[in-house]
Amino acid sequence: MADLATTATRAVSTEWFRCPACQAFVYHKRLKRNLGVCPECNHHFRLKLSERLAQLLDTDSFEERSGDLEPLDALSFVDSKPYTDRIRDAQRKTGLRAGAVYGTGTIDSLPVVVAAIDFAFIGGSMSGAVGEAITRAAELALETRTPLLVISASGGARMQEGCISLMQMAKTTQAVARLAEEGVLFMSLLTDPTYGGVSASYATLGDVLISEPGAHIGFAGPTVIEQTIREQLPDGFQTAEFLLEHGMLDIVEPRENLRRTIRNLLDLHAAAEAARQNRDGGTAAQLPSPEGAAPVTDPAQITVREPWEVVQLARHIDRPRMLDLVGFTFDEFHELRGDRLFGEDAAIVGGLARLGELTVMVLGQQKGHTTSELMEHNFGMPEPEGYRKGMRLMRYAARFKLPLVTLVDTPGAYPGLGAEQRGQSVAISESIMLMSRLPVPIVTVVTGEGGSGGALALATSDRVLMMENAYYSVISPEGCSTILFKDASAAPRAAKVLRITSPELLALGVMDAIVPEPPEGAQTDPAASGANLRAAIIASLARLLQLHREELLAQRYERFRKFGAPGLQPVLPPITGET
Amino acid sequence: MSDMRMSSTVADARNRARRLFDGAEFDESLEVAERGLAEAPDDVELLVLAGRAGVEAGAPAAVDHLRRATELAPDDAGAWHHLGEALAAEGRMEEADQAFRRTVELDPEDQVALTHLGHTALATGRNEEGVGYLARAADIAHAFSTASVSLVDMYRSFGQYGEALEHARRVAHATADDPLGWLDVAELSLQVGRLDESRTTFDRLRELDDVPGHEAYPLHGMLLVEIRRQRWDAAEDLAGQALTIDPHGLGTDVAAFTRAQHGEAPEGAEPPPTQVEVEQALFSSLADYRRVLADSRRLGAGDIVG
Repeated sequence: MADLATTATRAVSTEWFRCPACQAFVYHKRLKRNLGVCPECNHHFRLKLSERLAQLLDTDSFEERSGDLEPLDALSFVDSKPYTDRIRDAQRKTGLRAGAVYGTGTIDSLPVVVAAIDFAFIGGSMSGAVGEAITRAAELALETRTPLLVISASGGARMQEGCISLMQMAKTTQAVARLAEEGVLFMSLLTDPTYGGVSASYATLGDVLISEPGAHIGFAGPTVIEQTIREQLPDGFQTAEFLLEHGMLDIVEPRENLRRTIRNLLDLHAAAEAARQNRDGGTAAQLPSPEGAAPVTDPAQITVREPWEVVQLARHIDRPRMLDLVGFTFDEFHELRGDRLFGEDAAIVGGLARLGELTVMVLGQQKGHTTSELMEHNFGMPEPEGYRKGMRLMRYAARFKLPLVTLVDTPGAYPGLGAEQRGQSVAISESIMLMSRLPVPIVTVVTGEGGSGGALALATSDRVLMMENAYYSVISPEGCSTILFKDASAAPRAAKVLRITSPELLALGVMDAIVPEPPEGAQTDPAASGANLRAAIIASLARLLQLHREELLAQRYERFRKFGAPGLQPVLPPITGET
Repeated sequence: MSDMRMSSTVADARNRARRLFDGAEFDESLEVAERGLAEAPDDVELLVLAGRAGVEAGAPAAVDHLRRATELAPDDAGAWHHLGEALAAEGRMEEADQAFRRTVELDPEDQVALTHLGHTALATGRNEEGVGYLARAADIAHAFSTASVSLVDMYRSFGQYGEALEHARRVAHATADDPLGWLDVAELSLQVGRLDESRTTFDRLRELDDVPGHEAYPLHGMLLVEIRRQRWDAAEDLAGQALTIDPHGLGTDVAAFTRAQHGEAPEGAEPPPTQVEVEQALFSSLADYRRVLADSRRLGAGDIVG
């Protein structure tokens, strides 16, 4: 038997670890099989840089390029001992020269530039060498147009490097800013812990921010905050879950799923990059052949229903909702969360999706079917955070030249005190403005309720379509009935006079085409409805992807310019019979 | 195949499987050992090699190979030991406990098996028994061992601070870079009234731990020592340092407390905190420190993920 007394003289025990969260003793081979996650309580143990790279990258694919990097003692700093001694100690302890590495690798054969910090090297603090590794990785990613993955774990700035450490925040940030300008993907994996100068610079600037359950991420430490405000902080403060809830992260994924998640994002972006490099029809060629019924452009071909009946169908509890339709319409969908400002609003769902070989950004209001789903998604009524998340994802789409598809199904924007305090009007107006000049094709389909400005905030698009039994209105029929007819029970009458149905809106030019539904409504055959929606989106994108940016924006401008303009605005004949 | 030829093939398989295992090529080692077992299914050495390689490669058959080895060689302590490890790797702690128990019956001086047995006992809720095995393992090891690391925690949880301190010293000296080892020594020596040792160790910890954000923690420990010694000048000086590092932190309360010990009137209307309140706050800070150091301890160990 090996003698632990001789094999473990300078290292902590490697046989049994005590979980810091649940205090269980875990055998190291069991921990290894579980990727460093406590099998008793799911606590994610911190990983060394080498372990992290081994988990994420293809075996033997990492080619390090940081061999010449080493911390620099620019201040000739001495505290209780010279900084150079401290560096030597850290190098001996970790086997690393700089505390961070960068290089190239592959994940499921997809190329990626990787940089990573090791927390064991002076707390992963941001030295000039750490900043250099991140910056060089960003520059290499830019030069080769290869996605960048940075894995952070840091207590903050490296005091012993003074302002040189501080300047790394600017240096790394400007490097990743160039990636954003040039549309090169930057994924930031924030691991436990990521604080201070790292969290307040490049690490929170990724196109996609990913973390693991329970990882601590923040600017100031919780003790400092607690003492400052003299209040006990809530459970889970500054954990990845807390940040996700507050709109600061896209994805919190258990360690076992991380590699697959990153791989999927790389794959979607590889398709987008291929399209970018082949502009001559290449993008449209990535679309699949449509299989559902073609969209209808002649109002006479649409079954005429009583408008109030349409309203009931649009609100039917079994009507396919945004996420149902995404499942039927797209070949793959990966949700991205957060507005990076205040909160995560589940009333608007967004993310990257694949349609054939084409990568698109999808956004829409989600309602759900059950009481708990409806409450979780606030009945599809977005708060300002939802619209701000939407705008963040629209900018993401623009950065990577991804077409945008929006699916509208909302009674309206949420009318609440907090929503007003946080600028509901501003959020909606900014969303409309951003969409009006977004330099990528946009297709919108109103799939259920199209409730006023809350709907239009996602519908200022090149092509605006509507499902046959959806409705779109400046106000709810009930609201109009109360205000104009002074009688809430006159909602059916209001629905009729507001001209909110698909054939009417098609005739008015508000809609470009109508997506057919099964005879008794989409709820009777969600799959068929989804197929028709898919066909309509493909047809719209096929046309729009042929247009250059200037043509696209000019046509979008004209599309909305004509409403209400004399001679351009179609006028409907009066309603005959009783109203 | 002749007996001689077969024997040569099996010996070759053993040698190759062992070489591959030693070279950390576990999948290949398992494959070679299993090919050898096709020729000689009852070869205990091949079964153990296949089992050990299987454990490292995460192969489900590992336990079966090792169990078969113990059936064929019920007095082979090594086979029982490896079976215990294979079962522990699968989280089958009751069965692992049985296997390690048999190992120790056969080889009472196997301190690694005793260490495992101690931990499987702890994992199955038999704390006192587990501590007994760990203590035996630590005695055999003399100096530092895995057993000592766990004994520090267990003795501490039993309130046996003297015993905990003895093992904490072993661990801290053997793993000189591990701040948690020194925090154990500093806290436990404070608990048993060895204030000089505690103060010296907190000083050492301050020197050792260069993680940003950790600066105030060792100071809080040093403050506790000086408050216990009632050396108010030293405490006031340390409180001033803590205040400089962390303007909103505990330093404010502690400085108010230490000034009050000199008879200075508080600056605001609020009365200064009591000694009990100050000590509680400082111990709470050290508990936070323990948590953050415990999270990092594994980073100082060997790779668990390859």
